[in-house]
Amino acid sequence: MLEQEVHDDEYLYRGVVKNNWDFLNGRPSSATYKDSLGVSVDRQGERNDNDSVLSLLDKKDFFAVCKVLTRDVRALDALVYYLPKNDNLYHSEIHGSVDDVRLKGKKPNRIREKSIVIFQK
Amino acid sequence: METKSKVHEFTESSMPKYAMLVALGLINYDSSHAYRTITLPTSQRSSVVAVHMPTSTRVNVTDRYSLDKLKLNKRTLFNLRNLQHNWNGYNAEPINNDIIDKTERLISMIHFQPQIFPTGRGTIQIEYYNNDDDFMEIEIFDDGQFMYRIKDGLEEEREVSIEEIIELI
Repeated sequence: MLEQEVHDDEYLYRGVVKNNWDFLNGRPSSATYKDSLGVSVDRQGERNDNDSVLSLLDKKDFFAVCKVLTRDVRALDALVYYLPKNDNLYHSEIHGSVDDVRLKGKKPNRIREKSIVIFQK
Repeated sequence: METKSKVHEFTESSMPKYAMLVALGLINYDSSHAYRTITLPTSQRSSVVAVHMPTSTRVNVTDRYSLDKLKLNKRTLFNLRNLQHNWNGYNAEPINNDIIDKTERLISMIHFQPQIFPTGRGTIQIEYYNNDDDFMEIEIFDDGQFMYRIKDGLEEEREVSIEEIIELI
C-alpha cells in the first residue's frame, strides 16, 4: 500500500486511445481528460516510466501513454485522490473541484498542455 | 509580330458583354476569385481584358468550406456510434446518439470543419487550433454546449448556443 497522499513530485499516468489522439498536432486531445466521474490515472509510486507504461499496456492496447506532474495538476486547482483498487494498486483520480468531480473547460486543456507523451505507437 | 495575350475565360454568350463592361470600367474584378486563363487564336485577340468568372458560389479559400473535410467528419461521427462501453479503457460511456446527431447537424452548417473527438462521458468535443493564443474547444452535451477558447490571448469559457457557435466559426 502506498501513502495516502499523492506527492507533488509524483507523475500521474494515463493511457490514450487512438480516438483521442490529435494526429494533426501530434498530441492527445484534451478530450482525453474528460470523464463523467474523476479522471482515472495511475500514480507513479516508486516506479519508473517504463514500469508504468508496461502496466498500462497490460490492461489495454493504448495508442499512447502520457504523464503529468501532480504539482501541475494541483496548480490548476484540480484535486488528486489516491483511490487504490483490487486490481490496481496505483489507481488515482483527478477531480475538477470539491463541488464538481468533472474536469471542464480550461482544466483538461491545461492538463493536456502539461502532459508529456512517453509512449506512442 | 504575333504576341501572346492572356485573357480570361468567358462563356460564349457573355464574352462581348463582359469585355465591354470591363473595358468601360463598369465592372471591377477581384483577383482572389478563381478564374481560368486561355489563349485566344490570333484572329480573336484584342486588348487584354481581365474578367473573373466565379466557378463556385463559395469563396475559394482552401481553409474554408471543404466537402472532403465534411465527409471525413461525417464518417468520424458514424464510427463514433459504434463505440462500446469502456472504449477508452477507463469505463467510458458510449457516445449519446442524440449528441452525434446534433454534432452532425452543426458541422453541416459551418464553413470551417473542426476536429472531432469523443469523451469518456459520452459527449463530443470539436476543436479548432491555430496556435496557443488562438484555439477553441466546444464540448457538446445533450442539453447544451460548453466552450473554452483563447482568442488574441484572451481566455473565455462559458456555455454557448448552436447559433453562437455558427457565428463564431
